[in-house]
Amino acid sequence: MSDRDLERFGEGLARHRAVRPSDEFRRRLRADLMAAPVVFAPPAPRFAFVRFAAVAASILLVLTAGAGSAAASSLPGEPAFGLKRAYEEIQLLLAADEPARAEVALAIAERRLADLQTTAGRPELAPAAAAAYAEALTRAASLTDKLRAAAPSAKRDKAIDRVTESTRTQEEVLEELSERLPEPAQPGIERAREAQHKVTDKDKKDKDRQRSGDDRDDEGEEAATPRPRILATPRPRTAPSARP
Amino acid sequence: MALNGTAMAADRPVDEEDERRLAVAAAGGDRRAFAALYDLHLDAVYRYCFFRLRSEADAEDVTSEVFHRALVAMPRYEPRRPFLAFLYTVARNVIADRARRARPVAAFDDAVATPTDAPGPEERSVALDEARGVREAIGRLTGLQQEVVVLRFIEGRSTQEIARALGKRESTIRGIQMRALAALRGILEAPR
Repeated sequence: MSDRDLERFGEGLARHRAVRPSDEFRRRLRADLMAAPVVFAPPAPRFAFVRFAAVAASILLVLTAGAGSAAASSLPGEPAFGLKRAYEEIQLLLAADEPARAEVALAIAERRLADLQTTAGRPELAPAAAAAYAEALTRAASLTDKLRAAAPSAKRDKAIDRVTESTRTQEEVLEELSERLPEPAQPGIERAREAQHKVTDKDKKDKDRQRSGDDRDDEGEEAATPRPRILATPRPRTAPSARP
Repeated sequence: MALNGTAMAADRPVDEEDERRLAVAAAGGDRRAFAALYDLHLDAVYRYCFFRLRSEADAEDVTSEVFHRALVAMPRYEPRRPFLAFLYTVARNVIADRARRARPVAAFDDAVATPTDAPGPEERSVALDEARGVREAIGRLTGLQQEVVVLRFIEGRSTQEIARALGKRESTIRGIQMRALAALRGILEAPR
């Protein structure tokens, strides 16, 4: 099937633009919105969290330093890969602060994607490599989420930008790569795509909020300043008989 | 839900300057201005929800929540941004919230039983059945693929607009678009 065939098929979907809500729903929601009371809610409490360095991690580093290089070229699914992972975990533990931790997690995810690229020539390792990449990027995404919730600073912003920009590049690499990987690797690839989407989606929301001066996360996280809330009112629903 | 091939408010060309004036007025608390924005964009928001969710009831619930959230957020709305893009963002968030609470379950039984309050010709009924079939197929794509297919092909938004709306590169959107179309076609053409 050529790209042109697919595009023609896609263009055919435009006929479904005729879908629209029932007139009854339209009227009732409009009336509800016109009458809905909007009030300002008090500011939500914010708590500052302080993180302490893991002293024990430095001991682990001493114990394992020098042993990492032996496993450096191993791939997910190979016996020596466990050692490579352990070494990376220590790097993560030793990160000086949250922005540094997010950057280390990103570097690990980038390495897992490189591993996944390598497995294009070794399909038996592709499922494990895809799963390892998804896991690494999910962790980077989660650490970046924590950063977004932290107080703004140049270091924090730089780390978030780096994670986001790299993730966009990773999206392109994965798009190109995914078709060359075998079917058993596809579930891992889908999870990785979800993690990528999470990172770029959050960045998009942040940028939107900055543009609109909105300090609230639309997904319902706490706000730093008073924001208007709508009072609970029953939502209009079309009567069952009016719904096809 | 109804099908209508003519005169849909959302498909009328929207004058950007008029929309900006309405948005500024609505942000200042003018409820009539907000209602005018609602009239302009209800169909597009509903359609987006219709094809992203599994039933008309869900689409109505989410559409309702989108406009309620938008009303609350109006004081912080940035008028330089197209209002519909803002509504799509809110809709995506509401749908994501619902997906987190409980995976939407296919509930086509509530969407096929009763006729509309204004029964149309047979072609409309066929078109409606077909739209539901497409919705079911779209529901089997990944979340991101669903968004791209609905915004690009059903709503007719440009790749550039979608890339901006989803915070991705255009090349990424094009890749997702082609894979999504191939998957959708495969689902729709598979023998049942």
